[in-house]
Amino acid sequence: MRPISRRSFLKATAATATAAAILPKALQMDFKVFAQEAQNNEVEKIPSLCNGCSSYCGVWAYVKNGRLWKIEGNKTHMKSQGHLCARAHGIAQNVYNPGRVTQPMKRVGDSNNFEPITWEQAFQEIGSKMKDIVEEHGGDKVVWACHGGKESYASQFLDIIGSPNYITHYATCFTAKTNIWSNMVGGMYNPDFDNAKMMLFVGRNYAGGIIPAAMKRITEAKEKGAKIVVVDPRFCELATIADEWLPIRPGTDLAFYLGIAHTLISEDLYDKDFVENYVYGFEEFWAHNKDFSAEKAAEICDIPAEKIREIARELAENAPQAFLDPGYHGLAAHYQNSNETAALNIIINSLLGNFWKEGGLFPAASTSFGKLESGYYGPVAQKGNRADGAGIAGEYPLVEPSRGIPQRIPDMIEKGRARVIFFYSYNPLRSAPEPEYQKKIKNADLVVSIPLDWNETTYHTAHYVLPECHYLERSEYPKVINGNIYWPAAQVAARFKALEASNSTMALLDIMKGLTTAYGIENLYPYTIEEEMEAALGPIGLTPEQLKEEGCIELRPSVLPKDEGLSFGTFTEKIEFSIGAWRKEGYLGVPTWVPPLVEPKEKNEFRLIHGKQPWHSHIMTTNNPYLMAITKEKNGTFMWMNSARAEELGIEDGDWVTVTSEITSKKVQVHVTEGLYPECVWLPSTYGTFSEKLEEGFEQGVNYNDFIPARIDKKTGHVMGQECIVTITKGGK
Amino acid sequence: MANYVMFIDPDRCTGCNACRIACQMQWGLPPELNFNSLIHQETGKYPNVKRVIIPVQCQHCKDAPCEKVCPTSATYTTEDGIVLIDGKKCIGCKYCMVACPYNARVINEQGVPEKCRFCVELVAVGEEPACVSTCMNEVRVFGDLDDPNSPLHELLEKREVVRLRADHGTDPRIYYAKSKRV
Amino acid sequence: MTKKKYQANLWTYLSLILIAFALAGAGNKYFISGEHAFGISPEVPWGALISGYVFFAVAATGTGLVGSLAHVFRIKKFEVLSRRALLASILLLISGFAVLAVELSNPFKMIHMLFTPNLNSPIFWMGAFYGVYLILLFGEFYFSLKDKHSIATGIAYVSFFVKLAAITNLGRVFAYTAVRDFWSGYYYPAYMIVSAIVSGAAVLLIIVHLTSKDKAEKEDLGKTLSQILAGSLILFAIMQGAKVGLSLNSADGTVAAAASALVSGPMALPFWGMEVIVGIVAPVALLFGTKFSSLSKSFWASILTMLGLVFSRIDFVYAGQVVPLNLLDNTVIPSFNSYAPTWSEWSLIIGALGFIYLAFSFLETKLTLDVTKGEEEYYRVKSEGYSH
Ligand SMILES: Nc1nc2c(c(=O)[nH]1)N[C@H]1C(S)=C(S)[C@@H](COP(=O)(O)OP(=O)(O)OC[C@H]3O[C@@H](n4cnc5c(=O)[nH]c(N)nc54)[C@H](O)[C@@H]3O)O[C@H]1N2
Ligand SMILES: Nc1nc2c(c(=O)[nH]1)N[C@H]1C(S)=C(S)[C@@H](COP(=O)(O)OP(=O)(O)OC[C@H]3O[C@@H](n4cnc5c(=O)[nH]c(N)nc54)[C@H](O)[C@@H]3O)O[C@H]1N2
Ligand code: SF4
Ligand code: SF4
Ligand code: SF4
Ligand code: SF4
Ligand code: SF4
Ligand SMILES: [Mo]
Repeated sequence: MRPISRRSFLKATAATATAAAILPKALQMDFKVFAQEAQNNEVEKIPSLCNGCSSYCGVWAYVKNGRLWKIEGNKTHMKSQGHLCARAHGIAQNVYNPGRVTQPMKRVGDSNNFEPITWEQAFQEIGSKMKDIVEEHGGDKVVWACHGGKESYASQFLDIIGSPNYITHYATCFTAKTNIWSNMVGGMYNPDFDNAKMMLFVGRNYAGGIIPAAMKRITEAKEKGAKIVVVDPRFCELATIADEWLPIRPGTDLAFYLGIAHTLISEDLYDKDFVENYVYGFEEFWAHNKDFSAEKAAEICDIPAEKIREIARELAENAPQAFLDPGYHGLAAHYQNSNETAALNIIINSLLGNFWKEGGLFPAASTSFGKLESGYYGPVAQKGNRADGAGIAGEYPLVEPSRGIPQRIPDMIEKGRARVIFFYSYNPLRSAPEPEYQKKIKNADLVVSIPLDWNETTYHTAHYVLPECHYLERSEYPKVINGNIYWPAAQVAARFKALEASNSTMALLDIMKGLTTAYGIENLYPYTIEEEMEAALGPIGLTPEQLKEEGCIELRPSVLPKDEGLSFGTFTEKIEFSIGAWRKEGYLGVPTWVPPLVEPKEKNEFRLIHGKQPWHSHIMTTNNPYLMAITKEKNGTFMWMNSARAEELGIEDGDWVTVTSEITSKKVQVHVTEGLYPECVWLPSTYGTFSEKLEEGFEQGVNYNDFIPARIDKKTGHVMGQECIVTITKGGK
Repeated sequence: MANYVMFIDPDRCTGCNACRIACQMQWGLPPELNFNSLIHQETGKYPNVKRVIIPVQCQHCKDAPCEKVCPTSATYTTEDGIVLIDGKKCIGCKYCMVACPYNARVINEQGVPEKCRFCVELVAVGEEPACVSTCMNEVRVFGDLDDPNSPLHELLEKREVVRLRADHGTDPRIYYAKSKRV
Repeated sequence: MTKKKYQANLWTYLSLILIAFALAGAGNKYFISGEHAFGISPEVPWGALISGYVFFAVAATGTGLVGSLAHVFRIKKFEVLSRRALLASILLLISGFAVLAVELSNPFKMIHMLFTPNLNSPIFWMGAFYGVYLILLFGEFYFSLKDKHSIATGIAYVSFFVKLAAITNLGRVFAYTAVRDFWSGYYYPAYMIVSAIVSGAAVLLIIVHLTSKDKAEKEDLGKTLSQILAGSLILFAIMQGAKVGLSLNSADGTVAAAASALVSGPMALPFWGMEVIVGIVAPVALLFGTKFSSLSKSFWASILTMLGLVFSRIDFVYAGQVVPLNLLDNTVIPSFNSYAPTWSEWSLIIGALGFIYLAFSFLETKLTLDVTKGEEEYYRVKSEGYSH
């Protein structure tokens, strides 16, 4: 073949040296016009971190004439490796979303009316009201409820006023997993896709609950010959590329796991050395479960016994280059047996002996940042009791107080345990169960929301709204990038302000300064974000300038495979199959079969299950016109139903049905499919927006949280989001 | 002169739609206009289900029907094989849309039928098209077939390739790996 | 040769309302909804305005063709119609262009057809021939009004071939699109010519009924035109029947699917109701029922024919695009692309009719459309010369 002539290429390059970097106008589809424009315009590339979900993927924001053009992935960042999901692009454009709150607001009257106020007025009124309440009722009546992991300022304030009530969204996401892993292993371990020969994903859909780099690595491993098995009642997006899809009866994964563990042990397939050296409580576990054969499992979970054994044997054959993915949300806040299910996940991986092994599981690499001292030297109140009962004997002793129980805030208010509620980047009215119940939050003495947009919590409950600026409009304290997927080195990344705020919004640090000062705490944060960044990076030998240049910096590898001398962060320094904390509370220490709380029985009864859609984030993207355009095109709001069941009920694709649970009844359209276990219906988890100010998403589809009562799992405090039976009747619209 | 082509492996696509919206940002398109579509093919009966998702966009036909019918020659092919539209000449007759076998064109607010332009400006400065770089599953590979070092050669050799509706004789520049799942 | 004062009547006001409606429709496109003013989509990019253009352009051609019976074929009794036929043809073609101009996003860029023409493109040729045709029409009309009959006749000869070329290329515009199987082949060029004669006869019948004062002339002309209309309608019906019948049984699944969309799918109602019953069966029955000798019934038959043709154009344009393109293989996708004309689209077609009526009736008073004695003489002499 003739070597490529570079001439035309170079010519084009000269003419368009910066053409790549201009904001295109849809009309100007002319090459030369582009080249011209390119010469007159400068485009800036500023690094930031996507705010679409907890992956915080690294992005480069392209800014032209002060306006966002587009974003691209940062190639270094371990969560994205240069690739971004659809949401990232959409969320970046949210900077221009009409649903944003553009200035501080105060509720007037009863019918969700708000009037604009100045920041000064907002701080003063909130500060003095809060002061009065704290003086009369105590600082422990103040609750800070947030998404979590997104800020670091509130706890300093809570510490001073004596509130332990820092509550995160975790109980609605994954606490059954993190709580149990922390108890049994001492922390989370993450899969090494690159070297795995067999990967078992149960209730974990990386292609829908996306981490971009995970998918990149999974598809690459598959190319190299790794086997992928997906266990999911639904033919999920990951199943598309899997070698096998095993539909399971929802809520019975624990049985499937017990069947696998039983096979591994009874057929002598497990890693005896590993168990010998690094496991505590193996005998106790086996003693309680040696009758739970694959046959017994099959009866419950509806996967044939032979298949269960086959999977177990294949795992063992490939071990330790084989893993059962630890999961994320998919099973970890869903069932009465979610805790035991999480425990069995650990047990299976331990039986495969894959901890710290190539193609197995590893802990996250980490590092720590410097932190500037507060300038406050005044009195500090004694900490009171947690309003949600997390970690408190007689209430929810096993729930980690650092995470809390977000779904019961109305209850805390009713009992007088909570009087002032702050919501930061958090929307429990839509992300926690039972919206009508959550609306009672409005009855608190003082509700302040710090959102980006007019989310439901803000619209229906907040007395004051203090809008934060968009993530591209602020610089932030750096983040350690790690976790969820194995990467040998920790990474450091930060958000740098890419756009000037076009409205009267503020970054959290400035909001906190205003609030605490008005409250009467001076100098709690005596620094600017730039100073804070510098202080954070100093100890690891980096500067903000370096970070701004690179966007994301990888530190030296610190988590590499090892064969010996493993030590786990538990009391015994081993993986504990029997949980001490459970025994202390009078439970059996080892997991055994626990049935789900509810079961569908009648012809028109189904278990309501849910999951992520690749192009939406939780609930925060339904007002995004680009992402909703995809929804419209793909009938994204439809509820999935198995075709045989649909036929029985005379339901066809696109039909409206009425879905009724113990707390509500709603109408939705149905997608009839071969790709769903017959006993359940599946809802995409994002829709059902009920804030009128989010016009694009308003009343599009329904949400699983509409249907489930706000319950609390007694061990780890999660919401049991899929213990929900609905009856379905055709028609309604 | 380059010989630009794209390779698409549908067996890797999980339908995340990132390509669609990355392209929309790159080209400043409004939400309802997009150059990429994803065709979902689901086959089989529960529980033996299969799904293949085929990303489709302008195929940059070497023998482009849209170019042949365009009365003002607004649609043209660059020397690198990229089919483009000169908005200045386009009367908006939509004949190209009627003639395109791939439904690749959408009408913009100015009445010009636009379509994927192989990110010609990005490519010219050595970058990847937006839909290629954003794709987490690396479904898409873009390159110059005249470049002996392009990874395309290996891919085209390794996989059996098909082109969409070859029967129309359009000779497209997008090569699809033949799905192993159908 | 007396110039009359234009007297506004009920129809005038109605026409004005229709024109205002069309302006609103166009305004909706230009100032409010943009491309969304029309029901078109990426799947069905050509809609009622393309149909409207076809309707008017073909009617213009047909009126010209039938009208040319006087100037080109020297059939004497048509001579009284010649100026009106030319005027109607002009107005119809202008309407067609106007509708097309609103449909085209950027009609002014048509200038590039001169600078960078694409000789492969049937639209180029169709546009070129219709452009020339319009110029020739003006010329013929002008010289006819000035009683320069030899020049007018000379132009008429050229014009005859130009309009045939124009209409054939209009058919080719559709036939040339390889992926729209329902359109491809030789059928649509032929369809265009036959339906042109249908619409030409109908338009002239309407004109005769509305303008002619001479009773004998009315009867004679009316009868001939009615016969032409009936004959061409029957031919048209046979052709359409064959096309649809063959298509339904076509080995090409997409062709069969398109035909089934016509006879039993989304177009069934307009197809059977408007195209077949209103547009063919009813006028043929009326014409034969009166043995072609009631001009007023023939007038109504013509109105029905034209109404049917509007739907015929919409149906045929939609039918070519109704079957979803299968981008992957050549199997048929078992669904139909949907399309429904919007009010803006209807407004332009209806408004054009108002425009034609208004312009015609106005010019009727301002120009001398009745053929003068001298002219009659000219024809007589010539006809005799051909030993009639
Ligand atoms: N209905 C439903 N409920 C769910 C889930 C679901 O998918 N659907 N998923 C569950 C899971 S896995 C999780 S992790 C949780 C997540 O639950 P949440 O954290 O409550 O939900 P998010 O959608 O992440 O975002 C909440 C709010 O953050 C605000 N926000 C966005 N960007 C910013 C910003 O830059 N600054 C500030 N101050 N606010 C911002 C938006 O106003 C948004 O309404 O929900 C759980 N509950
Ligand atoms: N697109 C997108 N990606 C995201 C997010 C997002 O909101 N949108 N959020 C991020 C966050 S915070 C999280 S927590 C993760 C969540 O990531 P995942 O946990 O992977 O996501 P989910 O969709 O909640 O659940 C995964 C699968 O569990 C299946 N499932 C439901 N019930 C059962 C059951 O009883 N048994 C089994 N075996 N499977 C079941 C569902 O059908 C679904 O396909 O995604 C992260 N990435
Ligand atoms: S996974 Fe997607 S939404 Fe989440 S941080 Fe990464 S790019 Fe953003
Ligand atoms: S970005 Fe890649 S995986 Fe996602 S839909 Fe597009 S081609 Fe498929
Ligand atoms: S795919 Fe369609 S638009 Fe693209 S070059 Fe081919 S015919 Fe033209
Ligand atoms: S719409 Fe424009 S690009 Fe398409 S054929 Fe007509 S003039 Fe050419
Ligand atoms: S190559 Fe560029 S223009 Fe074409 S679809 Fe991809 S991103 Fe869009
Ligand atoms: Mo989550």
